[in-house]
Amino acid sequence: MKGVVFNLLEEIVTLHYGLSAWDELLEKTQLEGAYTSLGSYPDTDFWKLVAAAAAAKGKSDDEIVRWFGRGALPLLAKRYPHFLTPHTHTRAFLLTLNDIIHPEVRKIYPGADVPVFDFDISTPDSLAIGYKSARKLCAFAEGMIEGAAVHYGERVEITQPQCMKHGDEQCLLICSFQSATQR
Amino acid sequence: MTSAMEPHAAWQKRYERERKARLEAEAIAEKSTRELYELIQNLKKAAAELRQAKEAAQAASVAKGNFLANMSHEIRTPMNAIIGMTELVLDTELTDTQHEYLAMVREAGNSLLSLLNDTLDFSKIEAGKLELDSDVFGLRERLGDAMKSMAFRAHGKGLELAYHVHSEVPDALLGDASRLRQIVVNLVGNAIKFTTQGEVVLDVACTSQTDATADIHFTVTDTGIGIPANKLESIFDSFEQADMSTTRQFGGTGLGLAISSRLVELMGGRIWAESEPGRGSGFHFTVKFSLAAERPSEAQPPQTVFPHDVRALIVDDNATNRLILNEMLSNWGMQATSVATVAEGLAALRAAYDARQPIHLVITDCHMPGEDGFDLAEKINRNSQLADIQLIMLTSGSEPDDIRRCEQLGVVAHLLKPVKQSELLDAIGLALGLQVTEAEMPLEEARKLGALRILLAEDSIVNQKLALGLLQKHGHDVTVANNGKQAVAAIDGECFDLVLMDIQMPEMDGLEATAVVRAKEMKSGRHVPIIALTAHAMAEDRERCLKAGMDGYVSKPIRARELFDTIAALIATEVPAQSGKTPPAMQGQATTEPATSADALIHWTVALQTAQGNQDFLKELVQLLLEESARLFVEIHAAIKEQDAKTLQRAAHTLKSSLKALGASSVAQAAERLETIGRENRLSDANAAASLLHQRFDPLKIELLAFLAGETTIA
Repeated sequence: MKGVVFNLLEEIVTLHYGLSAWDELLEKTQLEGAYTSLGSYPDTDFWKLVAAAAAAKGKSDDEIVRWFGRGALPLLAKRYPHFLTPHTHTRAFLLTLNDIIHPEVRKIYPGADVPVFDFDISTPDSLAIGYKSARKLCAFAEGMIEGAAVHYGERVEITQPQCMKHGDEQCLLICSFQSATQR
Repeated sequence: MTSAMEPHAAWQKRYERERKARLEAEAIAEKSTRELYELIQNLKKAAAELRQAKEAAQAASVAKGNFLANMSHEIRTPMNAIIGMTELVLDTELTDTQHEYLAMVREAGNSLLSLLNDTLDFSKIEAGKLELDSDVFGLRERLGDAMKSMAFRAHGKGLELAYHVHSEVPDALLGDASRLRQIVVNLVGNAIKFTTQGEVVLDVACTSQTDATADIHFTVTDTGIGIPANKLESIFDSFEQADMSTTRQFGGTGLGLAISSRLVELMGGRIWAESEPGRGSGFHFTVKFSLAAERPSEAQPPQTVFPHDVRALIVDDNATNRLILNEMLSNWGMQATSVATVAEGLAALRAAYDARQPIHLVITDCHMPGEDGFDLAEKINRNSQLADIQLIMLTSGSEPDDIRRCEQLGVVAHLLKPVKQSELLDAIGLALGLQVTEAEMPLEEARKLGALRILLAEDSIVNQKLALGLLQKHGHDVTVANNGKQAVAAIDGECFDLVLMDIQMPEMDGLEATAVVRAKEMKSGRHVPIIALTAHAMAEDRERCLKAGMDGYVSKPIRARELFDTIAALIATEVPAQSGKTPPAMQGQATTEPATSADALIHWTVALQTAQGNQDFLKELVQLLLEESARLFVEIHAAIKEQDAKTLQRAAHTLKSSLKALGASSVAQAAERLETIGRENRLSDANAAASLLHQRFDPLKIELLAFLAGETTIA
């Protein structure tokens, strides 16, 4: 896993709970914690930190990962604004993942293992996203989608009728978007 | 001072600063990585484009090569017809002008063919497709053959052509003799082309030798126009001659030197030129040859040593020739003296006689300024003191009369210059009555094949006619098959001594037919030699033929020499029964000496030569002559009666040619007189001439019939 993921996690934890909270997580997990964005680190480091945070907050790993995804998006939007500014809706933004954003990620982080999404665009207001990855980070995807919806001032409802964690071949995220002001 | 004493705010500030620096560093690294990525992508794209371009170029080059091979095939086939048919027409009755024009057609055809070969060779070399053969060969004999092939051109321009292989140069070598010949012919040919007077000399020396290899240094020097110093390097480049005006003056594509240079490179040698404009040029090349373990079939017999008291005189106005001949004779243990003029020669002969050390052998050049070789021969003949001297004449072969004069003057042997060591050795052996050559069958002898039963498998009518004409002219019995199927059927039904097989034929091609024949032979245990006839000139084609079970390969257009050489080589090795058979003429059972005096009706030795040494074949020829002459006499009388000059000329001409071929020269002269009468339309003289012809022919007929009845034996 690329160091940038750990940097984002540190930043969010620090933002919400202070510098010492991150120090505590590192202490609990016995990790050194010197992560740089361009480096690659074991996936197990990530899951150890997630598990420690989940234990501290009394939540599940998936809930922590989803919260992380939600928090990560605005940070990425600040760092790489040019990916978000061309769009006004979450749906349109998401559809650029495979062809624009992830290829760019691979350029900056050689060796980055980014997923390829399987989009079903047959309905205008919703989007069915197929996700298949050995990392099984569907919760992170959900969080990011929610974060994106916030960014574009939309509301999104995500259901997940299929999940690899439940033995399905792939995860299926069905997202329905609504303009926040329509309510 | 310790950090613990510092306020928390200072640490916070430092942390923020470090963190900012790290983020900036990461951002810079990300940017660089991205740029690097773009660069790599561009490089990959460029590499892919280059690869594509390279593949396209390679494909184009292969296509070009194939195109060239096809072109060569397509051009060769009609060339085959043009040259071959021209040769056949040249053998028929023609006016002098027609003969001259057709000879020019044949010449032009041959130049076109050699140009085609050059182009093909060059493209093969450039494509890295030229493979060198590695066979055992005799250097002196091969070089001699190559030089002889240039003799006509050199002598035609009045140039002296000589070659000199130093005695230390090993003779049995392993390498590509035909490519070596190509280089030599190119360089010598060029030298002849650019020289108007003087000499062209090939000198061959050995610069170093180990147990396994020898470095041979070839030098071709001429006394021609020379080459300016600034052109010496570039002349070996493609399409270059010394300058464009040279091209205009002398013609040629300039490919010869480029090919020679590449061939020398392929042979692991070096080629270079030295020159002084106006004084001539020297072309040098070196080749490292492996020494052959076994002796090649055509190699020199081991050094022959003559008795020490053999004294020889060399008369030649050319210093190079004197030097070469002198060295050859000295190497053979003879006491040789050389002089430049006939007068000096005669003085030397007389002085030797007076000193009681008479000279036994004189080797003289034929053409010399002032008194020539014939004058010398005449003077020797007239002097009774010198009567025992044996004379060998070196001719340039440009004067057809030379040979006749040599015979008249009792010259033992006349040799075409440049002289091969082997032929000089034979001639001296003949002159001195010594058996110097080994019992090996010389090359010329090998070509004198007995009549063979040959199957010709060829679909093109023109090529059929051509091959038929050539083969039947040499007395072979030819059956024709129009395709591979017919060929297989014919071989099933009859025993042939040889099969000539075209490769591309309808129904069944030559390769397939050969495979079928070979498969059948697995059962019968026979092996009929099969020679491929093909217009394809690539080395791979040759391999395909041999793979299919063929024994030899002759490329079209068929040239008589190549064809008969190939046949002779095959028949000698493949059919022991043939090669072992001594022609009847050789079975020393001479009972009656054939008439050989000047007024003889028929020169049996000439006749036997025409019959290629085969007495049975000679009988057939005699039989044919008798039949043909009977028919022609009827035609001649009818023509005289009907005042038909043209028919008279043609019939008399045919009779004359046949008589000449069999060595019946005095009768042939009578026929020629009638021919002239016909051509000049002087029919009033015809009756007298015809009766003279009869007078001479009748006793000849009696002698011919006696021969047929077995009353005359020719040894």
